[in-house]
Amino acid sequence: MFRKASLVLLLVVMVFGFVASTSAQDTPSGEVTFVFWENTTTARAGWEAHVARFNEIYPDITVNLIGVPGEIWSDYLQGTATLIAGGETPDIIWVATEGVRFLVDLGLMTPLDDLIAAEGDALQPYFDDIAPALLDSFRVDGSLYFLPFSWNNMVMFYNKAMFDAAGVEYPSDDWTRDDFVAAATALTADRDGDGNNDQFGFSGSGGGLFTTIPWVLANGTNIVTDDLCAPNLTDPAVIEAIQFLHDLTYVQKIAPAPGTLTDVGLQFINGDVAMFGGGRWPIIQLFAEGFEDFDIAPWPGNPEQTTIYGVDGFGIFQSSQNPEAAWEFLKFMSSADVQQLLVGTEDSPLGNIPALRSVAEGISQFPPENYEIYYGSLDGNVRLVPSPPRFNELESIFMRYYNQVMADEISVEDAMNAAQTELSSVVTCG
Amino acid sequence: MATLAERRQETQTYTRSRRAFPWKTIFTIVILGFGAVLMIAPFMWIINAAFGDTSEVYVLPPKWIPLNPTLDNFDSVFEQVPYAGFMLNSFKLAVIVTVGQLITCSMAAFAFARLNFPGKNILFLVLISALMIPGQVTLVPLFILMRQLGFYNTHTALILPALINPFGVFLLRQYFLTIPSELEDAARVDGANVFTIYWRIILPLAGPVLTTLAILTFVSMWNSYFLPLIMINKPELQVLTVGLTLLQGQYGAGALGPVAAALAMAIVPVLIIFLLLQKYIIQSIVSTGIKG
Amino acid sequence: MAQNVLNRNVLSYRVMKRRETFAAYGFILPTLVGFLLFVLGPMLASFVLSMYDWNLLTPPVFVGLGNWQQLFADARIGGVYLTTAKLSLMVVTCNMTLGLGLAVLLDRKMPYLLRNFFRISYFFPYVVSGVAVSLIWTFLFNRDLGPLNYYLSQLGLSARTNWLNSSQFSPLAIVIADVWKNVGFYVLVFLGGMQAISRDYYEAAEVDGASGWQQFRKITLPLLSPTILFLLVISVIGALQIFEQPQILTNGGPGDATRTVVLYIYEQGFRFFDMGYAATIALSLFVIILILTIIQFRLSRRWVFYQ
Repeated sequence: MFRKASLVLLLVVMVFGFVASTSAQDTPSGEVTFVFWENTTTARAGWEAHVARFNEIYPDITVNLIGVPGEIWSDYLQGTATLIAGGETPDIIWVATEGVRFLVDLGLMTPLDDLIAAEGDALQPYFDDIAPALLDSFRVDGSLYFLPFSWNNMVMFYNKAMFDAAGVEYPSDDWTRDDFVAAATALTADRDGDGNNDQFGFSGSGGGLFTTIPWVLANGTNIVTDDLCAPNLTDPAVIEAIQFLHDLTYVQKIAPAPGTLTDVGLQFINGDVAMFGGGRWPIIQLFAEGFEDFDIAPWPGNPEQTTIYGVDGFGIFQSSQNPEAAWEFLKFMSSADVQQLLVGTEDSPLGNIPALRSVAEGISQFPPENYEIYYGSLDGNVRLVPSPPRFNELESIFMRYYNQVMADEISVEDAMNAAQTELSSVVTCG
Repeated sequence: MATLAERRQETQTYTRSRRAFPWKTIFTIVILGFGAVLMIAPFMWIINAAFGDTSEVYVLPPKWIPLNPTLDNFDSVFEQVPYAGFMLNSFKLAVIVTVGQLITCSMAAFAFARLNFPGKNILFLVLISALMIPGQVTLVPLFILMRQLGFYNTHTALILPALINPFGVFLLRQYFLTIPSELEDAARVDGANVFTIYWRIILPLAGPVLTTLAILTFVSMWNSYFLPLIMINKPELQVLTVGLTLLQGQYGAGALGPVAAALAMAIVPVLIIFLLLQKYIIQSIVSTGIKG
Repeated sequence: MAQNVLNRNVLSYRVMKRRETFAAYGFILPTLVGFLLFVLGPMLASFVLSMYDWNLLTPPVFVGLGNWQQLFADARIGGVYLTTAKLSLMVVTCNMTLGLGLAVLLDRKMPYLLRNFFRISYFFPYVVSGVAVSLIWTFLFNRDLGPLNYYLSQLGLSARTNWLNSSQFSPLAIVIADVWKNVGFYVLVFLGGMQAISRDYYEAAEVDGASGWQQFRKITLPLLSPTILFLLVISVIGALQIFEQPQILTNGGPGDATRTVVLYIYEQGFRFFDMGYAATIALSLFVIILILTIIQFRLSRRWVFYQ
């Protein structure tokens, strides 16, 4: 009698315990480590604010922030690799297109497809509201590895005040390369008469691969083949684009020689540079300086108006000790509320374009007026920034030769041929 | 025939009384002055950029004194990064390492200069050869070691490797070698042990060279960049040099104003300390030259 | 009886010796332990590392002498070493001659305050960090908007020199920034060395009718030679390792025109994730520095004059 009762009691306790433990697992808890790029001075504060909001809903999940400093993408990838090499096992990483193949090919990331499927319809609003181009950028071999958060492309900023003063028409939405050159020429001047131009129609300073490639893309080609398996620098269209950039400085003299720390934004505001290329990030500086007399135009076509884009998002490491909590964070960051924050507040716009289309409309409250070409470009001609697994080396080698060309010390053909040779062992699929 | 002493007296009086117009001195001062201007000008330009608003920077002809000084750039720096924290961290690390090095280097130098033990010369040569190892060689293994020891992302990771300094040992040893041994011998006869000799005799006499080492170490630690870059990524622990690069922004297109303001703030404390202590600082560097 | 005393003395001598050895090791211990852990250990680890291919994220792969083969087949390394040699030569020469020249000028009789002002203004850049110096000079060297080009054009010299992206001028830019930062140190050390030379020599020479230049050649230089050697050795070791100036000012460019060996090491190891190869290059640099230093010391016997 007793034995039977105690057996039943035991069974009840076991069942109860089992149910209790599973429901405890329903609310993920624990610690997760989140790696992000500390490339601007406000980056950390921004993420801390997100984490604070996240903790309002999930107070049991502690998110440890690790910021990796760096000037360019390669620095970030390098810093992240050093971190992992040193034994750190982060759970979540914020990464952009440039690092996707690098991380995925090394087998470091968890595919998100199963996690997404397990959510059923809960994430459908998110996926419906994102342009396919953004999602595709994070797919490798059909699997989705990252959830897009924000993104950027390249557009042409132009200084309306300077255009007005010189009597030049604003760029139209389908302007061509020739239109661009004509405008830039009209806006270049030697103000103090010393024989050197000090007002420039365009400045291409301060950039890496991302800010230089749009010219190549507009020629209908790219610096690597579409399958990312070989460099494509000997393509005459590529050479033409680079030659064009070179000549802007040395033949037509409508652009200054590129250099670092040139603060193009400041020159733009001061009326020394009439046009420059950028994504949405220049808005921050222009807004902070109270400068509003500008607008943006799509990249000049030659023949196409293809521009470049790059996406950033979040992924979960294979080695994560707490993938459930990590996934909660990912879902949280993809909600419309959080996306809304990307637009910025009234006094300080942020520099990226939200991934959700409906939210991206919100950037209309800030200059420029022609904001629609930001998200609108995703429906047209955009190409992803070329990001083979060894992106770091691609950028480094290409920029090294590009800088030599822009120093007017080597012919474009020689540079591209040499770069092609050097890159053939870097950009390869074999 | 006048003696040398008399002739010397003559020459001295000659040069003192019949002073021709000091062309050479004026010429010297002009050249030195020109050089000094070249030395100072870059700092003035940065100060101007730090205090100027956007319209006064990067204009030609260059402005050296801001007509509308503003503190906006400085506000900007503090808004964007915990700059004061960076400076404090740099200061704290520099002080700790300086004191630590003074202790470890003087102890080792004393042993090499004044004591006899097997393997002395070989050990010294090995230690000195460490000076020639480029920092990059040891960086990654050091990083991994620190991680294993659990010191990654702590100040300990920056302090421990900096506590030994072969150059400091070398510098101090050379100096200790010049201290006459009579004092020491006398102390030994009186029964002083090794530590007493070190503490009571050698150290007090080593004031100038210890000051030199302290200054060199402090400066070196204050300006260190590579190791903190790799070992630290918590902003509350980060140092000034790395903090400066944070302000450069993406693609090196950082806004000039805040970068200049940050630079100005990085330099001014050093300037103040330097001006206060310059008599001692310069004297000790100069005496390094004396000792050769 | 006497024998006992003798034995006791001998014993206590040995004991004393042992105590001294013991104490000596105790004094060296912190430095030695630190050296093993943080210098020798990582150094040996780098030796080992140079025999592997390692990209930080996947397990290292043993390649034996593969990295060394790569080094000798590397098309860029020759240029990189040449650039480093060129830059080092320029930096060392400028620092040494300017430092000595300025020290000579400073050694004159002049108002105390003025001399102090000069010493301070020449030495101050030395205590500023290399990062800050390089950032400042990046602004100054700006081709179109920097003050340097502006004043050069006012003087009628060719304007718009591309200081930061030209094979011809970028090395000069690096040298200028480096010398600006460091020359003060040389000035002060030379000053010290000169002040240690007894005035008697000069007075005797003056009496004998020697000119200023002769005095300099026959008295100052020889008596300064230990100082010169000291500075030369430090200078060479330092110049072969400059990193911050080329990295921030020109990032090694254009091409490899200002790419020093350590910059190349950084690129290979930390940009391209080829840690093994980076360690190999670093080892080659170490060997070269070692050889150069030994040569300097050997040669120094011929020209250094110790009192």
